[in-house]
Amino acid sequence: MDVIPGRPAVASPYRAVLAALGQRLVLPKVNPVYYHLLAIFLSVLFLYAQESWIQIAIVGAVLMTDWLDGATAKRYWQPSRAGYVIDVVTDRASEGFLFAGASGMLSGQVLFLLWLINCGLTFYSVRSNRHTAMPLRFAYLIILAVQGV
Amino acid sequence: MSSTAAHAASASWIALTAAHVQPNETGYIIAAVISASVLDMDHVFFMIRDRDLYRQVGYPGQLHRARSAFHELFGLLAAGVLSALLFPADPTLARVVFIAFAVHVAQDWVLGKSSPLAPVDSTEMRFSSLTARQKVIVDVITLIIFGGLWTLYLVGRL
Repeated sequence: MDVIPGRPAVASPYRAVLAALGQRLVLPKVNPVYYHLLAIFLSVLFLYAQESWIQIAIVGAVLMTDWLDGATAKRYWQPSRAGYVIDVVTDRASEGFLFAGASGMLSGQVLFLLWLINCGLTFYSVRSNRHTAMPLRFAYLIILAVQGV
Repeated sequence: MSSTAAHAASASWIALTAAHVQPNETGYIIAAVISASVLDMDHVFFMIRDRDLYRQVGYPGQLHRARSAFHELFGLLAAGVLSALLFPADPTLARVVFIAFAVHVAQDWVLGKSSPLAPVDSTEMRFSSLTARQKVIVDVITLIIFGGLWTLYLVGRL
């Protein structure tokens, strides 16, 4: 059976705001896979980012693609377990590249260790059909922004 | 799914340049090339084990089945753990090993069919629907581009 792991209730308010925003947005009818490919490409590009504002821009763009793929999938495509798997796998790959690139800093090293746990949580999510993951890229964006200020 | 040569050329170059390894640091270069290509050893194992089946169905378009869980998120996790263990002793080596391995896994995900959450879940995903011929073209283009980038790297122009 094509069961899609459910999102935790704690994320509902945040997801409701994003869903409301997504409904107002003019979204092109493209395959969400293009957003996933862009996220992976940007995450590899992050390995070469030296300036903090470039790092903030790349992590922000990666998070934006994550939101856009979800919004596009909800509006134009039938949700599926394969779609869910592509989404979480892209997230983990993206996090891996971002935190490997940031491993020169203590925050990057801590986030890399948390990413290892996030990979384990991904397996738990598909096993239990309950989506469980830490929003590490969002946390990293906040860290970068605070460091930038 | 790319050829081992394309993985070795592209993933190792990305790892070395991202980790700021100099062209004279031979040890890191060897580590990057090995990390970028060692994963394909599992194809050899499955192709030998299931050779009778492959003789019947043919190799093109079927090699996504000739791979272990190390080609999936499980492998990325294993490379991450190895990298975390290496990091206190040699941060550059840890970065090189992880990035080279991760780029290889990501390339295979992007270019072919896979079960990325194996062995826990068998759901298949497909980023692209390239034919065997198109994959060969991607392979050749990758080798040409990264062959040029490797030349520039080794002569110190990057």
